[in-house]
Amino acid sequence: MDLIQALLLAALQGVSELFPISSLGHTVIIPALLGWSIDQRAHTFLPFVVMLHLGTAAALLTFFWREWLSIVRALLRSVVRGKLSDDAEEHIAWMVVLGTIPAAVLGFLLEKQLRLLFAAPAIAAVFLIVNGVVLFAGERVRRRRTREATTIAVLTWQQAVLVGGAQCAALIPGISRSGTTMVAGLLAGLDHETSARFSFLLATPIILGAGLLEVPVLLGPDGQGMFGLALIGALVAGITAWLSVTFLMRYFKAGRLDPFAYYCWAFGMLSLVILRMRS
Amino acid sequence: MGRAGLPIAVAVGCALIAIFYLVPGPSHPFVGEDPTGSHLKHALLFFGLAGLSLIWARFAANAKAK
Repeated sequence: MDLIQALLLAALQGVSELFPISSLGHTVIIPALLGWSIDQRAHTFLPFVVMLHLGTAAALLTFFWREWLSIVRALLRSVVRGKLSDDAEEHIAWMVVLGTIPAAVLGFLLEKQLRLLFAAPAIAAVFLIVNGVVLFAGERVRRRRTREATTIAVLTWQQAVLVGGAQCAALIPGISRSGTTMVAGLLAGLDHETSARFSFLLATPIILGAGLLEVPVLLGPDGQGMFGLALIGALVAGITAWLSVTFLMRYFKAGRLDPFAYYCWAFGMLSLVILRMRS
Repeated sequence: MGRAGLPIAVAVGCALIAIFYLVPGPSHPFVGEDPTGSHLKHALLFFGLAGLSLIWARFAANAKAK
């Protein structure tokens, strides 16, 4: 992997991790479309990916630092007290914890198997089209809703687990983590902005955890040869993730999910055609 | 024990699974490489879940006491 490829992959990770368009799908499809011969299963590729995740997580933690401070304080308060109060901050904090558990467990146990099973560019392109259908359908269902939008503070624990559980679908390349959680959030009664906020809060521990757990790889022999490139990649991923989350939080004040559905359909179909012509 | 019974049972179950992943020898499911080795990261995940279940048990016990 050369510097240009590393920078492009890093920028791609930072943007597509947060936009509801599947970062995993794009990192499988785009190198194939560009004819890059990068072995993404190679041991030397992992330290690079770890740093991209850490860069993205750092951007999310920095952007939502007030929320995270409030969440950590609320969690500590309730744990020390030994019981839950009616405090909204405590409720939000525990909803984030509950929503993180399904994806943490299933992601940890099944990620490698699912990635090996589905990590072919054509399959990722098909699932990207499916992702578009999920976004479009979620938006349609939300528009039919007549009741007022709710907030994270009044979500039930079952709804939090369902929204968080929706992240599990993103183990399949082509299905977006933020897309599925935003759609699940809309179905649970949240508006776009709150749904996006909850989605990014749920994504942070998963992305950060996935990175931190692999830090020993960075310090090992595979990491030493890649460290400089990985560090530049982390910076680029962090900056693009920051710009993405800033844009998306503004966009979802009034914006909707269907433009991303159209993008997923167009890019998925175009990728299928190009991959078919090449084979 | 009352309402804290379920979370305590979940905590014990998670702790046992964590220990299972730590012990080398048996074939561990869902590990990708080297199924018979010791898997610290899997063990950490299940110890973490056991810890959360204990917090849940404490909440449940105090909610009942209230």
